[in-house]
Amino acid sequence: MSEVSKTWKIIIMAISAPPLLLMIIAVILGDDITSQSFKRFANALITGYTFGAGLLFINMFFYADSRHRPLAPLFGMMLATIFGSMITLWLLSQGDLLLEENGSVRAQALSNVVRILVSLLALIMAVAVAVGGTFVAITSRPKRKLFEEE
Amino acid sequence: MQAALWFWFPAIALVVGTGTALSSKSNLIKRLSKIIAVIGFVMVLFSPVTVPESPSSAAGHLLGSIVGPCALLVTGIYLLAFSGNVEVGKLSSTDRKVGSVCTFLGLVWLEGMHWWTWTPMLNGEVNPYWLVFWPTFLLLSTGLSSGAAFSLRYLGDSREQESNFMLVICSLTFTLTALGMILDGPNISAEIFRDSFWLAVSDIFGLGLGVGLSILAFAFVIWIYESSLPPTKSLDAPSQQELEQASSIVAKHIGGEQE
Repeated sequence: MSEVSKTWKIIIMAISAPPLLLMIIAVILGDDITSQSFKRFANALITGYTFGAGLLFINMFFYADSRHRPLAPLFGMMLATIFGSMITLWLLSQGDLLLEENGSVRAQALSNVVRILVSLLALIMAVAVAVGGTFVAITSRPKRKLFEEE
Repeated sequence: MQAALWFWFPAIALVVGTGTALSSKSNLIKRLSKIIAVIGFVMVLFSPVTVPESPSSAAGHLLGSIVGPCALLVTGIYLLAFSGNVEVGKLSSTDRKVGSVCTFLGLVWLEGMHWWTWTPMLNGEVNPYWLVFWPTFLLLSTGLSSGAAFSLRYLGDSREQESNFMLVICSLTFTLTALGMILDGPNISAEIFRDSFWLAVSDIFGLGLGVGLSILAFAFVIWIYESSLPPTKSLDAPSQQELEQASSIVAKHIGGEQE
């Protein structure tokens, strides 16, 4: 294994280890993963896919700009986005399969969108703390000498 | 209809306005986008007043509740980072003190929302979106701070001190999450927090997988299109006449004058 791939594996493990440890603590405290968690996971997955596909569909316009505006990839990505939306609505309409505390498909879909926005806000704040904290740590240290005087 | 008018359109204006303000090259469009985003933001903030019957307006209530501590935290971190040893645009030592106070107050405010009575309450109950935001923020902060600490240690050169600082932040968020699972707050019990924690875990995994699948779909669409394009026509090898012409042009431009 090369040194670079070893380093990246360590970093990925460092990112995932503390959350996994917290999950172990939650399990030790007597919590089982409930059906609500699976419903939430499925809702987040289909909403994340549709949201991501929608954003990438918009991004496809920039790709089209660099390729003499072909319609085929735009159409393809639009199909991928519509496919995600249709699957989302179909799964939500399957009775109790994915409905949480919302009474209708529309309410659940809107609730999913709000949740994704709130989660993104939490992600932005967490990135601000982690990246900002790193910069604070780096700039707080006195300047290092790059070369010793001869 | 009321919810669409007073919450969803402003929310779309906020997201689209922010995106356009960050990505547009035209100054006029940037300025207009900022105005649209600010109007959208204010309307979303006031949605609990304008459309109190809509469940989505709880997100506006949450935004109003966390905008203060989050702004303090981000401003504090910015002031602390740029009042240190930076080459350009260094801020004063007063800014450093203000930054420390802002960061401290921001953290205390956020903690007070869980451990004291400052919890965002809507109609006598804890705002449901606070139970989405808080565990997600703690969980992601813990993972990302740990990642930053190990990145500094393994990718940086002699960055152990900075790495230890990030490990302190990681330990702080880790401890706060673990304490939230064990101890009851005045408005949020440990059991509710643990339920919200699992839902946040499900959210993060689901979103990550969903966004990953959409990126795969994007790559697949581009791959299909690019592989359907006819191969580019390769040029014939240059003729003897073209080679001679090229060499005469090259010969004219090399050598220079004798000194």
